[in-house]
Amino acid sequence: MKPDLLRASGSRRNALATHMRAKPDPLLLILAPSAIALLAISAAIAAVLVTGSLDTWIHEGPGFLASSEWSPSEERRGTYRVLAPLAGTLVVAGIASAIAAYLAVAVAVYLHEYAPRRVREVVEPSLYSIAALPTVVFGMWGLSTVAPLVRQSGLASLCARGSPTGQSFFTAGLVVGLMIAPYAAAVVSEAYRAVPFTYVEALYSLGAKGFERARVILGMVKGSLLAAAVLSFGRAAGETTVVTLTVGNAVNMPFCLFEPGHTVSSLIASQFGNAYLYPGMESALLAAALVMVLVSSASTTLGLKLARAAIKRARGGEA
Amino acid sequence: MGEAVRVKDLSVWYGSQKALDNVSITVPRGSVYAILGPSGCGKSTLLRAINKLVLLRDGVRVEGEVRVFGVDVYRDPRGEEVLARVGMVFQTPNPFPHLSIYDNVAIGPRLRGQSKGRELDELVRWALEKAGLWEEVRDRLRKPASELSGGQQQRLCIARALALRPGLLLMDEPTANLDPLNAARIEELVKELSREITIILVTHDAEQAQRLARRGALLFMGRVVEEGLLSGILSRPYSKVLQALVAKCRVAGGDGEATEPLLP
Repeated sequence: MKPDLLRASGSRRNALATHMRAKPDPLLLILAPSAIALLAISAAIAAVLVTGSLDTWIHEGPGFLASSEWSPSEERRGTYRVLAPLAGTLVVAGIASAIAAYLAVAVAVYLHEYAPRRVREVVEPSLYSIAALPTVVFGMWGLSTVAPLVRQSGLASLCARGSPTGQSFFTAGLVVGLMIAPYAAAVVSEAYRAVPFTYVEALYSLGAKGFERARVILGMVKGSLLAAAVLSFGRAAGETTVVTLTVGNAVNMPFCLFEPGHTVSSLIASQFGNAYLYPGMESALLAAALVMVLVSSASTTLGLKLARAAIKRARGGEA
Repeated sequence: MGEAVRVKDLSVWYGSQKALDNVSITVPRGSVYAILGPSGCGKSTLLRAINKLVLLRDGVRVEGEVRVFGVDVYRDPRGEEVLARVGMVFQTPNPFPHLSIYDNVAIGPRLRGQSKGRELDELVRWALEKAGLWEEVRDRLRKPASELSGGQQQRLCIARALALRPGLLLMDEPTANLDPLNAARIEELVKELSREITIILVTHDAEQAQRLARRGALLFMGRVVEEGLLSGILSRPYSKVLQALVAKCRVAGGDGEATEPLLP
């Protein structure tokens, strides 16, 4: 039975191939080059990043990632090492994804366990439209409203070189966290709703109250929660506009959160335009960009893997 | 003996659709009571009206009275307390897949802040023994419940309900999604448990109802058509009874899909 089936499908495939050789589908002539062009552009970017940064890798070696010395010079080749912005990226993305994850869980639990149906029906779809706001809007709000609040809070006095403007690692993390929270909330809310109704009924029949139900259901979707957190981290790590406006733009190790700093993205955004004036800086920024590409593609790959595993587990659990 | 459940003039609406129309039934203590009827007749709604799960649906409205062990569960503040001793088993086995076998059984007592440590271990073992699952899982209590077979999962759900030490057990077609062998095991279990616990069993299988219950009600389009001894209700073959109901409904001018129940 089985071999017959295999043969049948094999011959059908051959027939299809013959057919395509004989008469190419005109649509294919448009679609194939588009796909190839996309791949080619990605490859070209990677090639520029690799070849452009070679000089830095040769000159600085592993020290490029292991030291925070950043001294530009117009006369001779300066020293450009990115430990500080790299650490800043991790810290800002860490703060942002922690805030986003907390808000996302709080919003999802509120919407599904406490909010009246009308509220849920209005809020849930609007999460997506908030998530679609241009990032520069959040950047301006961060700079004009959040940074002054952070300054007035006096938290900067906790640090030796506390930010006089309110722009700091913390400020950037906070604003980015608030920005990605609606998206994370939509993901968590979606996962929450995907839990089959029979489990909700079972929890009620066992006498579980709002918070207790939420704990069990969040346990059922914890794979999705983790995936949302990792994807949020990747998104926050790559965020540029908001961070450039709120982080304070100083090459500074993030030992104290209320000091101004840089992330790799904000460093590139603020320096790349003038980098040609400083020998070696352009190459260093390309090297930093290459590192960021690796970091963000690693976290996105991990996040998607976790999300797929979570979906698979949820389906297995239902069966 | 007294009554375990008394439902009086109960009507339930989902939005503008009437799912139950003036339903009254009386369930005596210490027996199996069968709720029979074709699908969509309101069996599940009636069952969920008894433990108030029906309120989870959007736009639901409930009128009438449900007394469980004498307490009006919709109006009396003691209702919560009474419903805490009402267990439920669902059509599809639904143990929490991410929790261990042990935690699935322990969840009810834990939520109530009752029993801990040794005492809880004893309760879990008792419930699993009652559900006829103990011997199969005693060595793997910490394994996830999702590793069990469908029949085992349903017995685990029965153990989960039993851990509430219920006086009343509501079962919504508990064998509908099981193979005959596992269904037979569940039936045996229902018989055994009914010596101590009142069981209300929703089923569309008249033979199963007759095997397990003495009394019951026949629902059709949201109304109780007959209530009492099953030997009376099923004096004619069940298929004939249903055919007669459908025919009667047609004569009354409906097409079988009318939103208003058409029976007298």
